[in-house]
Amino acid sequence: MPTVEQKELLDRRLAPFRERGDSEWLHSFNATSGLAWPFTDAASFDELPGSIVNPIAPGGAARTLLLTAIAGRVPLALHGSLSERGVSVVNEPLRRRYRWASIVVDRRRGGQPTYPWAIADQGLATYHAAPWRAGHAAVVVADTAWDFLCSTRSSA
Amino acid sequence: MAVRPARLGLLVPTRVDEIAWLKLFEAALAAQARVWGASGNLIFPLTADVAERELFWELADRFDADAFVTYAPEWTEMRELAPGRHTAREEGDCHDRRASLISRPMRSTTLSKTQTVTSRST
Repeated sequence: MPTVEQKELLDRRLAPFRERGDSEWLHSFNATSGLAWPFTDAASFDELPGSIVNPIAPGGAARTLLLTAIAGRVPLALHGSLSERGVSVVNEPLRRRYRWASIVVDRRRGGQPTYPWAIADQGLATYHAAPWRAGHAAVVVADTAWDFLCSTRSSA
Repeated sequence: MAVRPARLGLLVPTRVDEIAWLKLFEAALAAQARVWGASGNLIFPLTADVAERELFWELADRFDADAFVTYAPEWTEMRELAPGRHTAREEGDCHDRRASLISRPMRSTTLSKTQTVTSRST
């Protein structure tokens, strides 16, 4: 957790949206706990994908991080909730590195299976005027956490 | 009127129980699989010197998050984050519990695994 000084600085300089007088405005999250404000639980939506392919990287923390950034990953805690909702999660170990590279590096748009980010991306196209395609991009330029940048660009 | 998911700045610690930042970032991303619009959120390393990092303020200003959240993994997530460490601790807990039962007379109350996990995570 950030220190009290860091929290005050964040509040003062960035003024995040929060209720007036709410001193506990910095929320926390993990894969186990339920979701509440400021999160919206996409796994509780009425329409969910029927099947999710959960790719598993062929070893190595960096490979796993990049794969999760691009395709997402279903944590163990989410497996059960999805099964209850009728979503089957198919684990796909990527035994060959070229399979990993085809997902992470080539990032072909057509003919890809439904990866875990599809849960979080549901319905976003509805609110996008131009044709919406999620293009996940992750970059690691050196060895520290400050050299990792991950974001999504919705492109027309 | 437009509707969009909340845009969140994720503050992810770079060190928890000697686990590498790569694994923590990966777990934080994975934990968002069910968060609507999560692929548009941005990760910031939560280091001791975060407030002195100009890069942080530049990115945070431009990103203009609706809210900031921190990643706080629970003990059960250690199974995925650091399976070896998780198993070792679980075995250690079993050993400690067995030892305490031997050294003390057994009472009607028992320590459940859940209680142990909870106390570890806090």
